[in-house]
Amino acid sequence: MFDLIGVWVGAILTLLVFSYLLRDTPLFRIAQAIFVGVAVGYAVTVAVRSVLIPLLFEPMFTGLFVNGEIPWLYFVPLILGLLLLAKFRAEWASLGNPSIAFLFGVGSALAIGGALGGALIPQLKASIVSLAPELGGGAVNNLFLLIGTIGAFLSFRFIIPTGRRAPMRALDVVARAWGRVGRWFILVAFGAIFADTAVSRISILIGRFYYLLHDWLQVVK
Amino acid sequence: MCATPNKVESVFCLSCGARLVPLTVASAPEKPRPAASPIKGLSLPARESPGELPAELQKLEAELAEPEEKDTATWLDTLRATSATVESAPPAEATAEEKEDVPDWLSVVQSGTPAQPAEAKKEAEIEPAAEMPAWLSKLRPAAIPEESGDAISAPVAQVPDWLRAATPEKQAAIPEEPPLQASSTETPETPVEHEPDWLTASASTQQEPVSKEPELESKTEEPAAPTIQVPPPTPVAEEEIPAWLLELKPQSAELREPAGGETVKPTEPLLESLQVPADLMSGQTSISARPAPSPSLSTISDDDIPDWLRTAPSAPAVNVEPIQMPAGAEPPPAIQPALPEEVPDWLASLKPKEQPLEDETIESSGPLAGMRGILPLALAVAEPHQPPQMASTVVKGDSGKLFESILAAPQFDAAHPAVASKRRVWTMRPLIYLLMALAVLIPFFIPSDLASSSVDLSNPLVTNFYDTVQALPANSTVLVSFDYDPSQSSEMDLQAKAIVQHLIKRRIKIIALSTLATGVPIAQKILDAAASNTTNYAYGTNYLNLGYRAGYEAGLSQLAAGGFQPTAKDFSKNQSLSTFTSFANVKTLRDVAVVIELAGSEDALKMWMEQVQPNAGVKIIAGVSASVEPKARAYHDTPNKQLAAVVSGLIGAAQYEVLTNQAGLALTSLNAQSAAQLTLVLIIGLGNIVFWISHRPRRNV
Repeated sequence: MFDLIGVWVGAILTLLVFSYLLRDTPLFRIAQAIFVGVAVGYAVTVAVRSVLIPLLFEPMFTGLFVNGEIPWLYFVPLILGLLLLAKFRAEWASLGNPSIAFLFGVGSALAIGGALGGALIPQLKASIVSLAPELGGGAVNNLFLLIGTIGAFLSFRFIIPTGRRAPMRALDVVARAWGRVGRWFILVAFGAIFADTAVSRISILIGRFYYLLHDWLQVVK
Repeated sequence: MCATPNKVESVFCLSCGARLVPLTVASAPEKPRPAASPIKGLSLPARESPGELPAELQKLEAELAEPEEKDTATWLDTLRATSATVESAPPAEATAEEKEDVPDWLSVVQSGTPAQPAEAKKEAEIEPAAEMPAWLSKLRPAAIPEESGDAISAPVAQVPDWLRAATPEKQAAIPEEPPLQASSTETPETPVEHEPDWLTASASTQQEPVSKEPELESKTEEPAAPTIQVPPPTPVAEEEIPAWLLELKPQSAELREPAGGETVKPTEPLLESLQVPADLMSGQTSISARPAPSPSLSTISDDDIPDWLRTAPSAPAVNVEPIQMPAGAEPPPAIQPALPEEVPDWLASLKPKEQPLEDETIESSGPLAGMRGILPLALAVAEPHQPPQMASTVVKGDSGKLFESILAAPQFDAAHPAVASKRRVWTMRPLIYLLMALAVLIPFFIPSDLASSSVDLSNPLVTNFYDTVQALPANSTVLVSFDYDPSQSSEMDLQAKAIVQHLIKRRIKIIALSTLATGVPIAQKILDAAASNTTNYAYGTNYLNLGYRAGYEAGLSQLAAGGFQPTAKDFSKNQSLSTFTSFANVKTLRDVAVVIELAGSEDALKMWMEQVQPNAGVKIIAGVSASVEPKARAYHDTPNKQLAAVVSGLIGAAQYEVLTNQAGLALTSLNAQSAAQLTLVLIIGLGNIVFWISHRPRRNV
C-alpha cells in the first residue's frame, strides 16, 4: 500500500517538475519546495541520528554515568557546536567565530594537502610524457598532450612584451600562436564536458520516463 | 476746468492747475487755517474759483450762502440736541418744536424712520422750488433718501460725474468706502476743537446702538459679511467747506451711524449704488440682504463708473472683523461668480488666489523658504519632458505659457524606453521538447536489440572495472561509497545495481557508506534489492551499511588515517561495527580489497582521490555519472592509476551488464538513449544549417 502511495506521489511530483517546460508555474514551485524541504529535513534527521547521538552524546553519557569519568575531550566539539548557534543572533555572532575559524582552518588544510598529493602532483607526473614512446600510437597522443597542455597555459598569458630584441619578439609571436591553439583545446574540452553532461541528463530523463511508464502506468515491462 | 479726477487730498488740479478747494466759502476767515486736511471719500473734479465763475452763478451762490448759514447753524444745533437725547429716546420721538426748526430734509435724517421720507418728499419738492434755482432744486430732493428714488432717475444722465457721486446713495457709501477709510488712518488727525459741530453731533449720534436705527438694523442683520472698524471721519474745518458742499452735508448725515466702533460692510453700499457687477464684489457675502439698488441709478452703465471705483478691493486688509450673526440667522448665500466673459482681463488678473494650486510647492529651505509658487527648476531641468508642438511663430510674451506647457507635458522615461507590447512569439522550443519526448518514449514500445548488440565491449575503462571485480577473491570485503543523491539516481542506479549484483554474484562482502546524507537510503535500497535475488546473502553477514560519513574531506581523511571506528553504528540495525562478527577483521581501509566509488559529482570523486587514495594506498575504482567522466579519465590516465577503472554513465552500465551477462535496465534504456542522442545531434545540426543560411552574406547586396 505504501509502495503504491509512494509511486503515485513520485509520479505526480515528476509531472509537476515537467510543468516547467511550459513556464515557471506554481506547480513547479510547489514541487521544488517539497524537494528542498524533504531533503533538508531528512539531512537534519540523519545528522542527529548518525552523528550527534552516536559520536557525541552517547560517549559523553557513557563516560559520565557508566564509567564515572568526565569525558573532557567531547566537550570541545560540544562547545564549538554550541557556539555556532550564536550566529543566529547578530549581537552574539562573534562568539561563533572560533568555530567557523576551526572549520575553515581544518577544511583548508585538508583541501590544500589533498590537492597537492591527490591532484596536482599526480597530474604533473601524468603530463611528463615521452615523445618517443615504444608504442607507435603513443607518440602522437603524447604530442597532442604536450601541445594541448602548454597551449592551454599560454592561452591565459596576458603579458605585453616590452623588449625590442628580435628573439623576444619571436618568442612572443610563438607564444601568441600557441596560446590560440591551446584555446581550441580548451574549447574542445568544454565541448566534451558539455556533451557528457547532456548525455547524463538524457539518462536521467529516460529514467523518469521509465518510472512513469513502468512503475506508475505499468505499460512497459 | 478740465474735469480731471484728482486725488482727494489735492488742492490744485494736477492737469490744469485750477484750485480744487475754494478759499472764500467759510464765514470765519479770521481763523488761522489749519493744514489742508484731505477730504475723504471723493475725488473731486476741478472747479473754478468763485471769482472765475460766471456772474450769474456767482449771484446764485451768494443768494444761497446766507440762508445756508442759517440753516447750517440750525440743523447743527438740532444735531447736538439729538446727540444729547438720543440714548434716552429714539429719534422718532423728537418734539414738534425741533421739527419746526429743523429743515424738512434734516428732520428726515434725524427721525431716521422709513415712514418720514414720504412726507419729507412732498415738502422737499416744494421748498427748493421757491428758494433755489432749478438746477439746485433738483439736487435737494435727490439728497433725501427715498425708497423709490424716482426723483433723480430722470436727470441722472445729465448730471456730471462728480455730482452723480454726490447723490444720497453714493454719499451714503462715502464713510463706508474701505480703501478711502483705510487710507484715512494714515493721515494726521485733526484736533477735536477743529471739528465742525455737525460732525461732532454726528459722532455722538453714532454711539447709539445700531439696533435703534431701522436702516442700519437691516444692515447689521446682514449675515457674515467681512466688516471693518470704521474710524471716525476726519473732520474738516467748516470754513474750508464750500457752500455747495455744505448744502450736501446734511444729506451725508444720514450715514453718520457707521462710525467708529461699529461694523459695516466695506464698500458694499457704494458699489451697489453704482450697479457694480456681482463679480466685482468678490469677497462680499450677501446680495439678497443688501438694500435694493436704487432704480434711479440703474441706468448708469459700467462705462460711467470711473476706474477708481472699479478697482474697489474685495477684502480690506485692515481691521476685518466678522459680523456677529444673530441666533438662528441663515448663512448668506454665496455670490455667484460672473461669467468669465463678463470679467475684463485686467480685473480678473487682480482676483486674489485664495488657495494654492495642488501641485504648487512651498519652499522649505534656502533663502526662498516659506514662499510658494516657486518655479520648480529642478523638475524642469533634471527630468526629461516631451517637447510640445512648436508653433511656427511664438510670441515672445507667450514664453511663459510655452514653459508651462512643457512642464505640463507628460513625462517619459528616457532611461527605460517604452516596452513593446508583449506578444506571444512562436519558437521551436516546444517542437524540440516534443521530438525529445518521442525519441525517449518510442524505443520503450518498440523492443529492439539494435543498441544492445552494438555495445562496444572493448572499452578498457569498463573492462578494467570488470576485471578488477572479477579478480577479487571470494569472501573478500569491498567498500562501496554511494555518493550521489536521488536527483542522480536515475542514471547512477543502473551501474550501481549492475556492480552490486556482480559483487553479490561473486560472494564478496560489501560495506556501504555515503558522504551524503541522502545517499544512505539509496545504498540500503539497492543492497537489499540485490541481496533479495540471491540466496544466502544477508545483511550483517554479507553486507553492511555504515550509513552517513560526516565531515566530507575531514571524514574521509579520518577514515583513511584511522580506519573504521569499532563504535560506529550501522544504518539499518543501529548496532556498532564490533557486533558484526563477519566484519570484525575490517578495521582500516587496508583491510578492504578495493574501494568502489559511485560518484554523481566531481566533488565526491575528488575527495576520494585527494584524501583517501594518496594516504590509504588502497585500490579505487569508480562508477561515475557521464558528466564526471572527463574528470575521472584524468585520474585514470595518471601513471600510477589513481583510478584503476571507471564505469561511466548509462552506456558504461549497459556495457557492464553485457560483460556480466545480466540484462538489466541499462540495456533496456540504451535504445532510448541512442534515439535521444541521435535526435539531439540532428536538431543541433539542423539548427546550425538554418543559422548559416539565414546569416550568410548575400551576393546581390
